[in-house]
Amino acid sequence: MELQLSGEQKLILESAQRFTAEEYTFEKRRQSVAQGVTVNRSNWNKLAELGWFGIGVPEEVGGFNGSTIENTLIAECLGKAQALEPYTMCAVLPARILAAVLDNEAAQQAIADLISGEKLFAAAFSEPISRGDMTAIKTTASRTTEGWTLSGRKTLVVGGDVADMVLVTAKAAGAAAPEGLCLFLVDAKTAGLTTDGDRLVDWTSGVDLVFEGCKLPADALLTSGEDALALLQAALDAASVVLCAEAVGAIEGAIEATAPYIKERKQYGVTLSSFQALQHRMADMAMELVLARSAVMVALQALANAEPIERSAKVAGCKAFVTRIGKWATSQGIQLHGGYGVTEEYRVGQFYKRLLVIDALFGRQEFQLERYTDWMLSQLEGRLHGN
Amino acid sequence: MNFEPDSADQRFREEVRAFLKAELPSDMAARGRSGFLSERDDALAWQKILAKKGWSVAHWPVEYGGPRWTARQRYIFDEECYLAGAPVTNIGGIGLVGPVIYTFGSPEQKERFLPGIRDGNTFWVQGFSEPSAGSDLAALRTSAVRDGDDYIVNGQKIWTSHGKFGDWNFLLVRTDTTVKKQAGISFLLLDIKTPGVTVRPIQSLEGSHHLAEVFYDNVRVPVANRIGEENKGWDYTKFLLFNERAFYGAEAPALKRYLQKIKHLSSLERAGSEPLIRRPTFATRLAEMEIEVAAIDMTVSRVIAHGLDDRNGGAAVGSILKARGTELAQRLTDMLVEVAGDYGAYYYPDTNDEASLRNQSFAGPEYAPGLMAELVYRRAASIYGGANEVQRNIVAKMLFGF
Repeated sequence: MELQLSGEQKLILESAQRFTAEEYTFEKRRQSVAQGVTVNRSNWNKLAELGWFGIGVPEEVGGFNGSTIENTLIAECLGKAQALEPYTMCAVLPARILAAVLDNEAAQQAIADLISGEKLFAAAFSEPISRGDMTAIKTTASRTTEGWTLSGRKTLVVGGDVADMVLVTAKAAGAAAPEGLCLFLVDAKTAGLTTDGDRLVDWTSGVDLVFEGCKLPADALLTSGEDALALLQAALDAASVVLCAEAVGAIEGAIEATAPYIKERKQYGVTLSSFQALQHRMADMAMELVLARSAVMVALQALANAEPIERSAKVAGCKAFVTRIGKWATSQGIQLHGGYGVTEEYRVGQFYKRLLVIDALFGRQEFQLERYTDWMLSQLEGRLHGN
Repeated sequence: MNFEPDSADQRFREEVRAFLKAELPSDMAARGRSGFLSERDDALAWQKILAKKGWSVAHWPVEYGGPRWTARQRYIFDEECYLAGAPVTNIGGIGLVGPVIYTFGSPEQKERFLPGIRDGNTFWVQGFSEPSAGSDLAALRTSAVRDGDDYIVNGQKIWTSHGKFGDWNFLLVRTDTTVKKQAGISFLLLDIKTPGVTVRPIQSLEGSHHLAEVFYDNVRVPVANRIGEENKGWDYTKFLLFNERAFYGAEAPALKRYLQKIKHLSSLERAGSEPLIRRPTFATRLAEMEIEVAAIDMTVSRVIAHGLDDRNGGAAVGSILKARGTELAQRLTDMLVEVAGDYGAYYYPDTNDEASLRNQSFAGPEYAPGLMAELVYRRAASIYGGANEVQRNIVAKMLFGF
C-alpha cells in the first residue's frame, strides 16, 4: 500500500490547482449565475482540453488511463473553486457507464464525443421514489417493432438542461427491476423529451427530464437486467466518491474563506479569532477536513479492492460521513461570517449550498447509512445465527 | 405541579381555531405555510383582520388595544396561528417598536404611531446593526447631530429585515461620541420617505431580497421623533431586545409546525414502495426531535406560568431558549428538505416575494417550493438576535459568573 500521491498524480493535482485558481473567480461565477448560465460550454471545453474527461477511462477505448484517484484530485479542486461545471455528474459518471458497454457501437462513438467535449452527457437514473435506490423507478420502456417507447419522469438530472445525449434507466414494461432494468442512450433532441425545473439551489445544473412516448431505435438499449445493474452500481459508486472529493474541496474552501475573515473582523474591540470558542470551532472544522479526506481514501481503497457489495457499502459509508460533517463544517463557515455569511455577496454560503446538493445526489445520508448498516450486519451473520 | 388540563385554555384554543377557520383566507394560509417569508401585503392584511377582532396586539396593555389575555392564552394564540399558516405580522411594529413607544414614548408619539401599528396601516423596520456593529451593537457609528428642531443623520444600517417594505424605520444613532459607547446612543423614529434615505436590498443565500442595507445621507429627523431622552437609547434598546428574545427567541410554535409538516409529508412521500416515515432510521431521528421539541415547549410554558427561577435557568433562560430553539429549527428544516428527496436540491424562486410568479407551476410536488428557502434562511437564526456564541457567553456569565 502506498498512501502518498505518485509523481504523476502530483502533477495532475498541481495542474488542477493552478487551473482552478486562475480560471475560477467568485465574480465570474456570480456573473454566470445572474445570466442564468448553468454550464458554460467554453469552460467545459477547457476541461476537455486538459484531458480531464479521459482520466479514469482505459486507453484502449480512447481514454487516458488513470483511476478514480485522479478524478478525486481534480474534483477536490473544482469543489474548492466553486466551479459550476458538473465534472463528476456529466464527465466521470457517463464515461464510467459508457466504458462498460463498448460492445454497443453508439457507445463507442459516444465515449469519444464525451472525452473530446464535443458532446455533453447527462445521466438520468433517479426518480421521486428512488431516494438512492436506482432500482426503485417507474419510467417504462415498451418494446415496439422499430425499437422502444420510453415514458416517465427522471429527477435531479444534472446537465439535463444542456445535454446533447442522455443515459436513461427504465424498466421494461411488465418486468420488475432488476431483471427488467434497462439502460438507454438517448439523443436529447428526441421528440417527446422535455425538461421541467430551473436549476439547483447552489446554482448548478439540475432539472427533471420528462419522457412522453419517446420513440427510440432498437440499438438505443445499451444493456439490461443484472448486467445493467452491476455496471451502473459500479459507475455510481465511483462517481459518488468523486462527488465526496468535491465536498472535501468545499469544506477546505469554507475553512480558507473563514480563517482570514475572523482574523480581521473585530467586535468588542478585538478580532473574532481571539475568542477561544471560535478558535475551537475552526479547529473542529480543520479536524473534520482531515477525516473527510481520509474517508474518501477509504472509499477509494474499496473501489480498488473490494467485492461489489462491500465496495458499495463502503462508498455509502463515505458519503454518509462526508456529507454529515461537510454540512456542519460549511454551515459553521456561514456562522462565523455572521450576517454576511447568509448573503449571495459572500462566497462562503455557496459551499454550504453545494453540500446540500451533494447530500441529495445518489441518495441522502439516511439511505447511505442504511446501506452501510445492512452490509455491516451481514458480516455478523454467522455470529448472530450462533446465538 | 399539577397537569390537569385547563378547560378555559381549551375553550380559548377552540375559539381561536374557529376564528382562523372563518377569517384566514386560504391563499394567504398557503403562502404562510410555504416556508417563504411573509411579505408586506399579507402581513398588513392579516394584521387588519386581527385588528377588527381586537386581536392584533396580543401582548399590549389594554389601554393601547391589547385583548387582556393571559400569557398562556397569548402562547396558544401564536401556536394556532402558526399551525394554520397565518402570515407573520409586522414584528418590527407590533413586537419591537410598539412596546417601546407605549412604555417610553411621549403622549403625542403614542397617539400618532400606535394606531397605525395596531391596525396594520404602517410597516416598521429596524435599523440597529451596522457593518462593523453586529453582535457588538453598542459600537454603532451612525451619527445624529442637532440642528435646531431636527437631527441630521448620517451613516449606514445593515440586515434590516423587510427593509424594502418599510414605511417607518426605528433606528439607533450616536448622539455623543465623548462618552462610553452605550451612553451616547439615542433612539429615533424616521419616515423612510424622508429625503436622503436609500434602501438597498441584499440578496440572501436562498435567493430572496428580504434583507436590506439602509443609507442615511444628511437625513433630517425632527427631535420630536426621538424616543425618551437623548443618549438614553441603550436603555430602551435593552428593553426591546429582552422582549425580542422572550417573545420570539425559541419560536416553539414554528418547531411544532415543522414537526407536523415532516410527519404529514413523509407519510405521503414514498421511498420505493413504502411511505418514507416507515423507514426506521428516518422515524427514529424524527422521534428524537419530537422529544426535544416537547422539552423546549415545556420550558417556554414554565417561563410563561411562573417567570424566571433558578430551576429554569433564571435570567439566562432567554438565551438558552434562543440558542437551543434556533439550533433545533435548523435540524428540523434540514429534515424537511430531506423529505422532498431529489426536489430538496432544486432552486425555487420566492413566490411570496415576487407576486408575478405566483401562478407559475414548478417542477416537483406542490409543497416543495419554500422548503429549501426556509432551511437556508434558518442558518441566519443562529446569527440574528445575538449570535448563539454570544448567547452561550451570556449563559456562562449569568449562571457561573465566568
